[in-house]
Amino acid sequence: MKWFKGIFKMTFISELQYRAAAWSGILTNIFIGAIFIMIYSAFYKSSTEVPMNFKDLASYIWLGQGFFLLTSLSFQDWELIDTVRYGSVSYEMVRPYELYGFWFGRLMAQRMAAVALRFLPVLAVAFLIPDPYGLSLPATWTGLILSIISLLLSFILATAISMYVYIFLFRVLAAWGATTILAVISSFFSGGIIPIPLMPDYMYQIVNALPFRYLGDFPFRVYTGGIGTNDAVFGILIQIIWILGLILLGRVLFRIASRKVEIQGG
Amino acid sequence: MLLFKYMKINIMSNLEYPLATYSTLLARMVGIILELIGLFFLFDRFQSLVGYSLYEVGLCYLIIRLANALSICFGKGYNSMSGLIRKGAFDTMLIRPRNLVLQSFSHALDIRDLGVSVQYIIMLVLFISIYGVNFTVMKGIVLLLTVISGTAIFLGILMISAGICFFSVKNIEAVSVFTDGGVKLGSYPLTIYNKWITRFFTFIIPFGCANYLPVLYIADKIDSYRWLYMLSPVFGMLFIIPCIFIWYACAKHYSSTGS
Repeated sequence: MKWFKGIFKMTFISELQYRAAAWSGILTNIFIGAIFIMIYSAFYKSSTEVPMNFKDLASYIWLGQGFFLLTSLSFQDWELIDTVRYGSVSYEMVRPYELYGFWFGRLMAQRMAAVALRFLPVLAVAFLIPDPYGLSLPATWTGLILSIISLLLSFILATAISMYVYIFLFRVLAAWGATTILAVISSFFSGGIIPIPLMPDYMYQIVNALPFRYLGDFPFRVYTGGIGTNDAVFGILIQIIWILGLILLGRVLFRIASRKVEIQGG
Repeated sequence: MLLFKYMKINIMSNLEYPLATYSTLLARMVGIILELIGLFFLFDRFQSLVGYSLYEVGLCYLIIRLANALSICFGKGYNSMSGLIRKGAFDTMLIRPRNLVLQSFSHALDIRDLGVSVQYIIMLVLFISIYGVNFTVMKGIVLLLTVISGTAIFLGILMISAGICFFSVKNIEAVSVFTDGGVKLGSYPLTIYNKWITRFFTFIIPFGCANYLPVLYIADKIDSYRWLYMLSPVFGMLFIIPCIFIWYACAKHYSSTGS
């Protein structure tokens, strides 16, 4: 745990060094959140049969913007990607610890640090925006607690999924394409492009069969009360099963892939 | 032409890495299609957007994204002005006996960006051939002008931000509010927003000229003053003229970073 804290602190400090980038990220998230709210409020004027009321939708969108880097899989450690590309991964591989676990911790600490720096300003602004356009208080206290648990699990899930980029990287050095495909697919199926409740009904089955909705859609809807307590507890169990499954498979694949890794140049 | 020669060299250097190029293009295609599917889903759920049909919104959506893709494609030099200044590459450009604006335009054209633009063009043509009703040659010309107008507006914004770089050296990240935000905002007819937003993005930064104004004409929703709507993209293009002057004025203050 000590090294995990160390990496977390290191990333947090280096993120603080790039305050300007963080601020402009925050600004962009707020701006894009506001645009989404305006677009959906126009859509909501055109129809009365909607599967989600507007107040909940607004909270859903603001949470999505606040935790943007939690759900975004285009957030990757490019330094780590370069180690494979330029061959310095060989130093990593001779170190006496399991590489999968160490990289996992490193990626997760980075993700947590980046989100920790950004989510509060976005959510604070969203709270100040008047109803029904802003972020509302959670429906119930249990909903709030369950959504926090689920969000914390999302960090592990997002990291477990992003580890597959590095597995792929051992075989193919051009990482950008693989990362982007994974990122857009996950963004689509986690409600980042349009909120999942607004998708056609037949899409729900596909979305439910994939792990991505547990990154964003699920915890956000537990927060707004769109998912009740019983379903929320059940959903968290499924989230944990996904995490365990993806980590176990990822570890095996990582070992196989790293055994065959070719060290590039020097 | 020199511009095309520059482009050809850049494209050939990209093709030296075919796998990276193709996988990136594939990734972008998946992204484009999924975002478009999102739009279709919304219309499946809501049928209309305060009076606008899928056809009109789809046109706005594809036009602004194509324009943005083209501006990224041709404005790479402006986009990376901060890097050019820091590495001293701008000094090299100053020595060459060629126009600075031209050199910046053709700097580092990437086939992947060009590929994204081509993908959007294909999408736009497909979309119109499926959903379009009595599409005439005149409408085609207006559409073409609209895309050029949108590209000019995005390039103008890039040029101003590149101009600021001459003073700050570092890139001004907040400009992405206007570029990325402009894409998001302009993907839908601007009149659905608060009237101040509509006005700002019609008269100050004229995204409206590459958005609802010409689209209303293309979708046959205008009865009077049609020529004004047809000509609106041309007004939008004018935006780039002051931007070029501002960029030149800023470039006069350039002092080398000496690396």
